[in-house]
Amino acid sequence: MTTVEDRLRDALTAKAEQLTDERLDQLAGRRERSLDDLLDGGHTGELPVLAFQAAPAAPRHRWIAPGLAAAAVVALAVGATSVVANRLTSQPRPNSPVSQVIHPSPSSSPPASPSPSAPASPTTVAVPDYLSRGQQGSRSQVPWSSVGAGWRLLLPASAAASPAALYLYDPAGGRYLINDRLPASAALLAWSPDGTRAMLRSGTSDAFRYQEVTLRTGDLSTGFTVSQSNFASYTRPKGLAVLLTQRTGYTSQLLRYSTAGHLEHRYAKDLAGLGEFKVDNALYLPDGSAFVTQFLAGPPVLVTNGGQLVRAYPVPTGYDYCRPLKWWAADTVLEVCMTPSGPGERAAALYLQPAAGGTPSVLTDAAGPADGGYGNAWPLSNGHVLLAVHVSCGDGTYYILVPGKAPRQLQAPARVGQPGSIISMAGDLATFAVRDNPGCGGVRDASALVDYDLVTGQTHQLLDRLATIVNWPADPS
Amino acid sequence: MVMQADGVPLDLAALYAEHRRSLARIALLLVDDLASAEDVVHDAFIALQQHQGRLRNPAAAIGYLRSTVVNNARSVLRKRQTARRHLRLVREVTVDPADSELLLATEQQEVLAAVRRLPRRQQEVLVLRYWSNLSEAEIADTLGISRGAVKSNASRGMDKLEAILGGAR
Repeated sequence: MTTVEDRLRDALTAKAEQLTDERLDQLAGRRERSLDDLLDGGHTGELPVLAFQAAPAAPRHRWIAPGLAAAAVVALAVGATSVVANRLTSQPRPNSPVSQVIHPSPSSSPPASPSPSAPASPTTVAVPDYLSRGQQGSRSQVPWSSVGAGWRLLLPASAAASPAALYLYDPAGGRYLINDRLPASAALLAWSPDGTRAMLRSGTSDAFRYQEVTLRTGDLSTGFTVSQSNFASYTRPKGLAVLLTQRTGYTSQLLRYSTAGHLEHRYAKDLAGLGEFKVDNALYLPDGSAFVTQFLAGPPVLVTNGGQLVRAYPVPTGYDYCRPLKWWAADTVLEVCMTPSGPGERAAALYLQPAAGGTPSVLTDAAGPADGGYGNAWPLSNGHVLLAVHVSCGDGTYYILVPGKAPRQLQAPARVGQPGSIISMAGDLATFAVRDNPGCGGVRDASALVDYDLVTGQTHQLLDRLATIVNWPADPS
Repeated sequence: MVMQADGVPLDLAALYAEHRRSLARIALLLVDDLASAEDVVHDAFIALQQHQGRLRNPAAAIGYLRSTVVNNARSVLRKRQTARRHLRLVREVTVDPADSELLLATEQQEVLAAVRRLPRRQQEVLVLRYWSNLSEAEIADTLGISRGAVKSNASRGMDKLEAILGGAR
């Protein structure tokens, strides 16, 4: 008979082994970067940091920052000996990349966005051995321990029937080919929260096929097929399942599949009398226990994985409904609220809704310089906010909101060109899809993708055609 | 890197390489959250560096680290409780992450859920005993309690687990 002690040992072991060596190595990579951060933080002379002193410590070592030494220990333990040794002797590292100023910036995916009221200060960090801008490398050249904030996945548009290719872009603009034999119709949907996989969808709506690419190996999974499906999001915390909707007749149902294709959960079609799910987005809480979404008509809601309604969020007076857009901060959702339809068009406004409930606060109301109001926003590291006008056709119009002032229209540099639309935001970096011809064609007509840093003003051409971009999945905690 | 404590070599890098995994897993079992577990261990190594002057015997370093991990884990749990008070409604319905059912069998989830219902001290004792395989003396040193207290916490914890889960010890 299995004893309670055996069961306890078994359960503890299974739980402990969730923390894999690979995950620990990823941590070690981040610590290495924090070491570089610390070592570049103003010390110019000899850094006798790592001498561990017998008590009492020798006076010449008393100034040493403990965090610096600890970070150095971590880096040493993961094989960063040469980095540390070179730093300690103040000798330039062979082929050492130069340092550059990088602004901490939020991801456009989940939370971790800095509060717009608390601009982050620039931090000097040592750039790992990235490729030069425009240079292409292979999977084996990816500095995997450095992959994190500022990295992007790109799936460039390909000619019909041509295999699609998936690239990983480093923050310096170098690209690494992950797999160039992907299904011709593949669309890049998401980057798994644990950073190891990309989700693709191919085929037609009659039978969309969901597959994963393991980034380190380039392997493409067999995947699974769901008919009439729409919207797909990884679950959290790791992304071992996929949340998607499936349309049957006139109604839509929310489903959760494992990434292997097993149907895990079928959510109720009419939850708590609130009607049909209208899921354009599922904003998971950091621990993955529940997500913010919405119904076809009604307020945003917080729903558990089991489909229980935790709460419905209030819709501000004067608005018809609100749609959650993304995490604005770790505990706050950015939502777009629409005025009722009437003789004129609906108008959009942006509100910040605390996940814990309570009254949402207005970011922009429906009245403003922009017809139709604002439909999206991104916090910038300088405390400003980029606002996108709610448009139904054509190119985007953008405004910069400086706290305490009226929004002013964004004047993008000539290189970005006009018209153009932002298709991705990663921190301060906006990627514009530049079009040669105005009209309602949208970004499909893009002739180039151009990165424009809204804080530094730097621009770089990213690609000579349209691509789907997915940013590093920031940790929402 | 070789360091000295009272003239006895202490290789902190080797200490890290050898023990970080087990320490991180102890932390994970106590705080039930990978990111916090990683931070707990990192902070423990920082603490070791900060207080290295008090460490007379390098052989005690792992004990020091283990104690710090447990203390840091308690701190994380306290902070989490405070945060949860502000997110009370969000947490009222407690369910596992969507991923977790793929990671752990139902049986294992039941046992872990039962462990989480125990008082914190009993959880710590059981984790150190049944996962870390520490002796009563080592657990007592780690937690800063007597061996008798280790025994009583272990016994009470197992009694409660039996009551919750059913079955013989």
